[in-house]
Amino acid sequence: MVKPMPEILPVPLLASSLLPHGLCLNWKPGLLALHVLSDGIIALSYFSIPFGIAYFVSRRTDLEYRWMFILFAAFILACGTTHLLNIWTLWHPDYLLQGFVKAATAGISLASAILLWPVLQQALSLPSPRQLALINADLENEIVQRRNTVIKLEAEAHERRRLERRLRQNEVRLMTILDTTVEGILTVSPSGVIETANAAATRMFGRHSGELEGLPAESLICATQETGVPSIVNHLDRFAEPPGTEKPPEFFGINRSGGTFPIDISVGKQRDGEPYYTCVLRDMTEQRNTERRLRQNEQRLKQQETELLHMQRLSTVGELAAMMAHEINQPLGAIVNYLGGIMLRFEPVLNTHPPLRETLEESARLANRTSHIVQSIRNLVRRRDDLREMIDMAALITETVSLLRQELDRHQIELQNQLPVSLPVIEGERVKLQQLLLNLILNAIEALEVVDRQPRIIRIESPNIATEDALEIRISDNGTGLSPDRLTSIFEPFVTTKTDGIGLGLSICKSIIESHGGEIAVSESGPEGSTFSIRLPKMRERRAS
Amino acid sequence: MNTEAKVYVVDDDADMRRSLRWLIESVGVAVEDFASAEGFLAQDPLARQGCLVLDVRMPGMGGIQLLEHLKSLGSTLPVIMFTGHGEIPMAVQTLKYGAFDFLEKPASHQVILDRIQSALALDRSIRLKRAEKNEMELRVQRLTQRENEILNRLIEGLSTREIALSLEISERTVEKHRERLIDQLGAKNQIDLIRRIVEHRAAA
Repeated sequence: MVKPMPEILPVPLLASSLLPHGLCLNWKPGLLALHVLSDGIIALSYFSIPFGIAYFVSRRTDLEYRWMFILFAAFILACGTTHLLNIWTLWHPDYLLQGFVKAATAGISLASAILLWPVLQQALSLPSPRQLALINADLENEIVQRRNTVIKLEAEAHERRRLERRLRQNEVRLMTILDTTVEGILTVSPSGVIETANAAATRMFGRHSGELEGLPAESLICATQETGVPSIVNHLDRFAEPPGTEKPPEFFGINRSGGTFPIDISVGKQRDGEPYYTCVLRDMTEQRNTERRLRQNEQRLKQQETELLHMQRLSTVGELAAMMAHEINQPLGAIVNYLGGIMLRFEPVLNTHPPLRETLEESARLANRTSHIVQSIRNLVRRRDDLREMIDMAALITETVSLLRQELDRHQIELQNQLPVSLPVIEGERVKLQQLLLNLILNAIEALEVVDRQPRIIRIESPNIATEDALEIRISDNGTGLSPDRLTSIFEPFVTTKTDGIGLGLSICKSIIESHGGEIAVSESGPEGSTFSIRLPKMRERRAS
Repeated sequence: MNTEAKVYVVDDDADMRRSLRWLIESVGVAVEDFASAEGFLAQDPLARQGCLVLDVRMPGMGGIQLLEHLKSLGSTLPVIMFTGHGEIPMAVQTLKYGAFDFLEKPASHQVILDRIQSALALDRSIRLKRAEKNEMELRVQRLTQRENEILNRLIEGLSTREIALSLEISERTVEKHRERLIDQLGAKNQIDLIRRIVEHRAAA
């Protein structure tokens, strides 16, 4: 409500002779009120806007063209001030002040107007909040994605750490395993350098831990006993691929002092990337030694067998000669006896007929010579009597049976050794007694060969009577027995029941047993087989002689 | 030479048997031969006199078995074993079992006859000794109790006087008995008497 202005020119200010603007309005209260009110509202409004802008600008520090906003604020503030001065000038004719304010406003507005256009150009290129919102959304999306990625990466990193830990554990475990294996394990690089070596390998080559790594494989392994064969890697390669196609030659390890030892080597080739070789080594020294010993034993055994065979052949010939000697000496003895008798009975005649005596004496001499010829043949093959030794018959029988094991198995014959663990000791010739046993068992085998009877059995037993001074051994079979007429002649030379035999086996047996002061007999015989029994005198205390 | 004494030949070889008979009979010694040990044992072997020529190798009972058997019966018959040539262990075996000797075939007739004679001589001396022993036994058994008493004291080394005192008889009686003892036991003197009795008792 504007108070109506006094009628008189009130103010001394007016002394400047300018008239208040209200005068132009004739101080009409309505009109004044209109102007005052409108200008007041405009001013107030104008004043309120820069504060809003100021607030906005102060809050949005990141604002582009901040100065433009400030300029606008100043421009509006200036505009508001001009309106305020419009009210002021209704009553006070301070038009100079108003003019200055207007001029200031003009300056500011001009500057704003001029500056607005280039800024406007630039401002137009600024994204709109909507665009920004879209971009923001995109960005947020991206952020979410990135965050997810980060989470995933972290999970992966965790997993990797876990794997690494497990890998390390495995590695430690593997190293422990490698170090505890008996086999030496080397890994060899493609260029032939030892990369790793386990404890066994280190020991095998007589080195300290860590000494093998970095050495060329050639300095440890060679393919022949001559060291320095180049490119062991080539060798390794051959045997690594495909595994087991070619049997590696003998490899040798080289120890610290340059000595070699046999090794067995198996090679694995790492397929991916450059070929690394894993060599599993075994020191074969012990095994080779064992093999050598076995071979030697085998050879010795073979040699013994050959010797035995030779001895038996000799023994057979010897026995044959002994038999011949006996058979020939018998008639020779008779001749000598007759000649002797003649010379005694017809002494008077011979005294008168010296040529007759000479002839008879010559005949006796020739008979003796014949005997000596037979004897010398026998001596050629006869072994000396001092080869007699104490013989454990139980052991000798076991040994003989083992010689015939194959033969027995071939004919599916069950040999029942029912001898007591120990038998009395016999003094005799081992080879001859063995031949005796061989002949008797072979005879039994032959007797069983021709029958279909099952089971085929050979039984060896000794009805050992402690009080007797002879050891009796019985060898029975359940093969073809002997007919009664054969029984008496079976031990005579050239008597045989076999179509391909010459009938010497049993006569040789008899000869052997008699040369030992013993006896041999067929104690039983029938369709259910026969039993041969041999009696050998037990060792007695030697008589002082 | 004792007419009862014979050479017994046991050999399964008939040729050998016949030739031995021919040889041995040529020196006037009786021969009886057998083809087997069993044949020889058919009669009481202890009643046989002379010697035995035995082949080691024979079917059935062998030579050594027969030898053993004879020894186990207490036979003193000397046994000559015929072995094959060079059967030294067998020969040793025969000696262990108490053979008198062994011969290798063929042996010269002199050697055979030599051994047979030695064996016969041994048999004779054994039988002689046995006869003497039996004779002595008979004589000892015939002695009276008093004679025995005096004999025992003589052996103990007592004098005539001591014997007379211990038996409470006169020295004269003792001397008479002693003379009778020397006479009865076929001794030459008192020392011979004591020797004979001691030997006899030792053999008993």
